[in-house]
Parts: sequence; C-alpha cells; structure tokens
Amino acid sequence: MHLHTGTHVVTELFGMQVNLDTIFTTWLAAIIVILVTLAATRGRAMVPSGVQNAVEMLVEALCNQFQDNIGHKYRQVATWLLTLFLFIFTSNQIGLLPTNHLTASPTNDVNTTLGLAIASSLAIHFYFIKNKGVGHWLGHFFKPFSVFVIMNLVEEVARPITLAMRLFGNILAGEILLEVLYALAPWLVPMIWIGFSLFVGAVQAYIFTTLVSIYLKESVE
Amino acid sequence: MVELNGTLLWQIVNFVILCAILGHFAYKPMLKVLDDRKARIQNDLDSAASANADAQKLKESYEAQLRDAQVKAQDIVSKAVKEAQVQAQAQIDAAREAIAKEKEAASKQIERERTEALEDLKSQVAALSCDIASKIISKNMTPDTNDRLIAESIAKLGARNAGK
Repeated sequence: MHLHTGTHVVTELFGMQVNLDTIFTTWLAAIIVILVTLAATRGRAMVPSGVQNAVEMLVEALCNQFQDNIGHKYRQVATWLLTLFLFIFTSNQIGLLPTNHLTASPTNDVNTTLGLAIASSLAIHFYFIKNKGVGHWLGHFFKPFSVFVIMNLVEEVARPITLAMRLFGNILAGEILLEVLYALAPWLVPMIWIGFSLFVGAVQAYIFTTLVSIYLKESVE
Repeated sequence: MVELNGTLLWQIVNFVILCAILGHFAYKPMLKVLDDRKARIQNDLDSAASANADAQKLKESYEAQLRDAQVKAQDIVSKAVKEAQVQAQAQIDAAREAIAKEKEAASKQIERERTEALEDLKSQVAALSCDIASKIISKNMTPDTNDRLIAESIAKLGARNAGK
C-alpha cells in the first residue's frame, strides 16, 4: 500500500528545495484565518453577535490564559501567540478535509512545525533582549551557576525541537491513520477518527501556544 | 517524510507576515473593542455601585427624617393632648366655680326673700291682729260676726298681697 500522506511536491525556488503543497496549504490556512478574524472585527459592535462573538470569545479565553501564564504584560506578545494558535488550529484541521489528497495539514510537514518553533524561539530571545537588554540575555544562560550554561544551551535547542516534533508527530500520525482507515474501512470508522482528530488538532494547537507562552514569561515579565 | 529544506525558511517568513497582517488589521481593533467593552462594563459597574451607595445614603437620610418627623408628630400630639387636658380642666374648674357662685347667690337670694317674707308676714300679722282686736273691742261679737270679720281680714290681706 502506498501512503500519500507525508509525501510532498518538491520544487526548486530561489535555489532552495521547497514543498509546494505545504506552502499552498499554509497560504490556504492563513487566508482562512485572515478572513475569519477580519469578519469578526468588521462590525466592532459593543454587543457582539455571530462570528464576532465566537472569535472574541476564543480570543478573550486565550488572552486570559496568556495573562495567567505570562502576567499583565502579555499584550506585548499577544499577537504572536494568538496567531500561533489560530494558524496551527486551522492548519491541523485542513488535513481532515475530504479532498482526496489535495489538501494536507501544513503541520504534517516538519518544516512548518520546526519553522514555527524556531520562529517562536527567536521571538522569545528577541523579547528578552528588548525588555531586559543584551547583558541580561547573555547572563541568563549562566544561571543559576556558570556550569549550567551547557544545560541551558541544550534546553534552548531542545525546546523548539520538542515543540516541533510533538505537533508534527501528532498531526502526521493522525493523517496517516486516517488514510489507512479509509483504505481498510471506508465507512463510519474514518468519521470517528476525524472527530477525534478535530479534538487532537485543537489540543495540539493549545499545547504549542501555551508552551510558547510559558517560555515567553521570562522574556516579558 | 522527515526532510528539512527551504520550506522551513518560507514558513518562518509566511508566519511573520501573517502575524503582521493579523496584528495590524485584526487583533488591534479586536483587542481595542474588548478593552473598550471591559472599561465600559467596569464603568457601568462602578456607576451602579455608586448609584446604589447614593440610594442607600438617600434611603438612610429619608428614614432618619421619617423617624424625626414621627418623633416630632408624637411630641406635637402629646403637647396638644396635654394642652387640651389643661384647657378642659380649666373650663371644668371655671364651670364649677361659676356653679358654686350661682349656688351661693341663689342661696343668698332665697335667704333674703325668706327674711323679707318673714318680715312682711310679721307686719301683716301684727296689722291683722290690731285690726281684729279693734273690732272685737268695738263690737259685741257673735260667732257669725267673728267668722265674717276673720273672712274680711283674710280678704284684705289677699287684696294687699295682690296689690304688692
């Protein structure tokens, strides 16, 4: 049995190998997120309803979570974290669309998840330097003692890799299993798995975002 | 399946652009609306609490005024009752005094009239006695004559009293 999930259409762009299908589904996810959030902010009614109500409820719940994790200065990184959640959530669900392999989750490509994780790590360091200065940033690698620099550097590398692999593994495994289930039992069983995958997609988006917010705490507080 | 390539850089750039777009066009106005709503709700709650406190103060003030008014009204009623009692007592005393005076005056009048009547009776009896005596002396008296004289004397006495 040949599995379609996890294979990519690779092309060369500006001298780089690029997974075109991942890029396209990333743009699709981005467009969906942009359209939904713009639709939610178009009315700006004091008493919300419809899309505005739903998106505001989600954004408010996430902001409360970020505030709990980071503190009252969470607004500084709210844009990054909200975008992370909305993009990862939407990306995770795209692979569940019944399109006969036309769409796969961009998050089933390790390039996407590692890209997001590295970008988040860079953001963590950027906000650390912005809020506390280069001296403190360099100093924090040597805390609590200077010998800890090795462990701290390993942690700095491990953090984005674990973030990326957790998301990538969950989504890729979910989609592979979905494809296998379609081949083995085309009726009902895949439906149940799709329902579970919707839940997994939401949970993984939440975990990724919450972990990044916890990592950002030291940079922002 | 797990192959790193240029897509990673593309994804970082894509995500940063998406962040910039959403941050500027979506989150900024949305968070502003949320903040405005939060501020408005807080303001409304503060206003409601303030209005409630004012209403409570006003209620307490009204209750205090009501209590004062009740006390004053009670005082006024008590004073009025006392004054009425005093006045009634004074009127009763005055009436008793007047009755006593009237009674005394009536007693004096009765006493005076009784005295006058006695004096009058005395003088009439004396005159009648004198009259009877003079007639007895001047005439030989028979029983008939005696009766007639007495009748005449009584008639005279009656005429005198009627002419008085």
